[in-house]
Amino acid sequence: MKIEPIEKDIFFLRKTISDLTEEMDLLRMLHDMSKQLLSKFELNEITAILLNIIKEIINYNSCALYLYNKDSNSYKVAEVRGISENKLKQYKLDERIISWAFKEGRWAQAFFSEHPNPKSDELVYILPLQSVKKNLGFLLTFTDPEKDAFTPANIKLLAFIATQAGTALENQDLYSELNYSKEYINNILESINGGLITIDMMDKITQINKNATAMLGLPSGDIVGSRYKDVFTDIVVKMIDNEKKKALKDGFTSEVLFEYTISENLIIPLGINSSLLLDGAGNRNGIIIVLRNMAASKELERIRQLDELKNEFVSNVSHELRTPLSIIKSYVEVMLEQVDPDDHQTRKEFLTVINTETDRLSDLVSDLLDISRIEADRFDIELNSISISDIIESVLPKLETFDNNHNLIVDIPSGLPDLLADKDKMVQVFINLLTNALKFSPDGGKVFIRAEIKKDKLKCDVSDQGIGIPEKDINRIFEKFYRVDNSDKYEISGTGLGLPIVNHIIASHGGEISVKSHLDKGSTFTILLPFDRN
Amino acid sequence: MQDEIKNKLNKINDLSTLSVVAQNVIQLTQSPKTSALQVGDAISQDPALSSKVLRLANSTFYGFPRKIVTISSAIVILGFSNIRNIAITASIANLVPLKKDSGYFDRLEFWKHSLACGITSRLLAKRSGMKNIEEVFLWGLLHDLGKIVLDEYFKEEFVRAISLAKEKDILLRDAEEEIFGIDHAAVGGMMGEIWNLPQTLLKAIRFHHNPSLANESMRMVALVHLSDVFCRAIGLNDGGDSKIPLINTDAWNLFKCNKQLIKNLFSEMEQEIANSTDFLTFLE
Repeated sequence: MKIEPIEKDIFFLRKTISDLTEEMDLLRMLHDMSKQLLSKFELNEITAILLNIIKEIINYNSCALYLYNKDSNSYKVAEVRGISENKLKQYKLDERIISWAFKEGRWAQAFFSEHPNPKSDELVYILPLQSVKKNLGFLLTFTDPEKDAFTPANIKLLAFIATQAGTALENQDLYSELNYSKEYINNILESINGGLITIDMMDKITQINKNATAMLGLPSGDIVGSRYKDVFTDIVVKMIDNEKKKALKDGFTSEVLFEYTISENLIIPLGINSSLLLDGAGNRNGIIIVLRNMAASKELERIRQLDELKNEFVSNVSHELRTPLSIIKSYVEVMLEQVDPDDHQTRKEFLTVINTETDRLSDLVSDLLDISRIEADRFDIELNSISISDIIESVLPKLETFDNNHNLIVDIPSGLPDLLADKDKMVQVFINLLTNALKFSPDGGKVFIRAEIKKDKLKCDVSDQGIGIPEKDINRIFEKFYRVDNSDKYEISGTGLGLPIVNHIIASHGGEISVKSHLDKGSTFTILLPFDRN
Repeated sequence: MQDEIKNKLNKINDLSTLSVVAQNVIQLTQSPKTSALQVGDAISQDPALSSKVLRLANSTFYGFPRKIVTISSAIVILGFSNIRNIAITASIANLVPLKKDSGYFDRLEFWKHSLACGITSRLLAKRSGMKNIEEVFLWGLLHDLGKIVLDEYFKEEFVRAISLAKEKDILLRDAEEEIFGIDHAAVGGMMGEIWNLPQTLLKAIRFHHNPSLANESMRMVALVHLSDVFCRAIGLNDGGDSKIPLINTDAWNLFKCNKQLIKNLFSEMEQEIANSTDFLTFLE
């Protein structure tokens, strides 16, 4: 096969090569220019580059860049070269020409309404800068006519530059708008009275507000972009893992409470809930986690409960006061009206009852006083060296009045070291504990009191074979006014003051009290008290 | 017949050709380094062309808000493509003057249709984001070059073709095929080639009935084809016949035409065409 060249004319081929080389240079130049223009997001950088490029192309004597100003709805001078702004103001540009240039979308000759031209020997061109949707501004160039700037090649170049500059300016506008709305949204996020964290599907933190960093006790909020597993404590990671799992499954989670330990002595209750984030097309693109500091609502809840307890307490106390009073009143009435003054036997019996009830009243009143002292922080104790046997010995006679239907078994070894304690208050403790034990024991039940040394402390158990304490109540029996609600089963009276007072007394001696209980089998109260070091 | 026509057209070229000035302007405006001053100098060689350029530059068709007094200003304001369009069109109009009215083919109607087509092509091009809208205007304006060549140089046969089309109620180009063996698109192509018209313009002339044949230039030819049909649809036919040809579906789809677009386009067309009647004053 013979290969024939399509074109043999050497001049034609040379010209073609030179044309192609020129075209390539042009393309390279266009590429460089658009790269320069589009790489900038600062307005003054873009305008400076634009004016430099135009200078390279048409070598203007001077030029001025006008940009559209939204606020004044007019075109304002943004940058000048080789001409002062004041001088520029003297020339009044024919506005119809500006509109015409925008309509035609290309380089055109500009005219002024007052002077034929600023300098009669200069050509003034106007180059509109437009984006697809709007007019962004225009450039005025002043050139020497003999420089012949107006050529098809330059028209092409300038049209291209105008498009690129328009794009760059619009990008800049969008960029600053984006920055503004980002700032605005950030402001909103920071002003929300709650913690907010967003993570993407790769577990990276995309947003976290100051409240969230504060609630989680993080040293800084500068963790956006990190994986949450790398920056949060194990507990928080576990919590977010859970939220994520549920949110991915259901789209959202309902609020759960979470006790978060920020530091050794700061625990805050956090409410946490989350939702799945979807993009416009409905694809999952992250999870938003909302944290709420529940301290305020928890405090309200506590006050509400306290209020309830106090109401209950008032009714309990009234009942407790009324019972002995009615008994005393009725016995006195009967004695006055029906009992023969000489019937000493009956009178003695009646007076014994009245005496017991009066003691009960007086105990109740002193309990109330104790509680109010504890509340007012004026519950003073007077410490002396004393042995546990002494205390128990003082307690037993006071219990005799109670009843004889129970077996009280005292097991206290001799020779135990002395305690440093307030005797009266300790007696009060054991009367309370033993009275409770007897009160809640069935007839014939055994009540034990034991003492032993446990490490450097005295351990003292008071146990019974009574009704026991339900598990849900066991942690609350030392709270003020709290009473186990067993009214449906037993008719056992009480104010709910005894154990809180006991607890307070033991605590103020540097001791501890605890309880173990089995329903219907009995309870054991254990007291640990420090010995007298001396 | 086809060869006969070609021979005759070649002979015509010896007698009447595009003016030297017009040819100069075409060449100059195609070179990237030509300056407005150079083109201005070339146009100034022909006082008739100079005054036509100034008249057009100041016409409402271009709508420049100030009076343009120098050729070089006109060149800067209208741009090289427009200046080239004016030079070509004025030169052709010189060869085929308005006054020869056959009674069958109304040349003024022909130019009105041509102008409407140019305007519509430009509107469509603008809508689809094309850049070289001045060039597009020329394609629309001169797509039916062949008709006026037939009317000028083959008058008798052309009149017969027009009658035949009316008689049989067929498209003029089918009647031309019967009489000449080729249609006005082919004739226009031949003439344009002899006159050294730009290659893109030649394609628009040759394939405006069937853009699918234009290969890589399909897009530009489709533009002219659609404009031709749309102009006929609003009653701007060319004086030869008034039948509306079928729209090429490739062209229709290429420009994503739909009812709403056509509705908007028609109202824009009517407005622009009404504003530009003074473009035709250069024919006088």
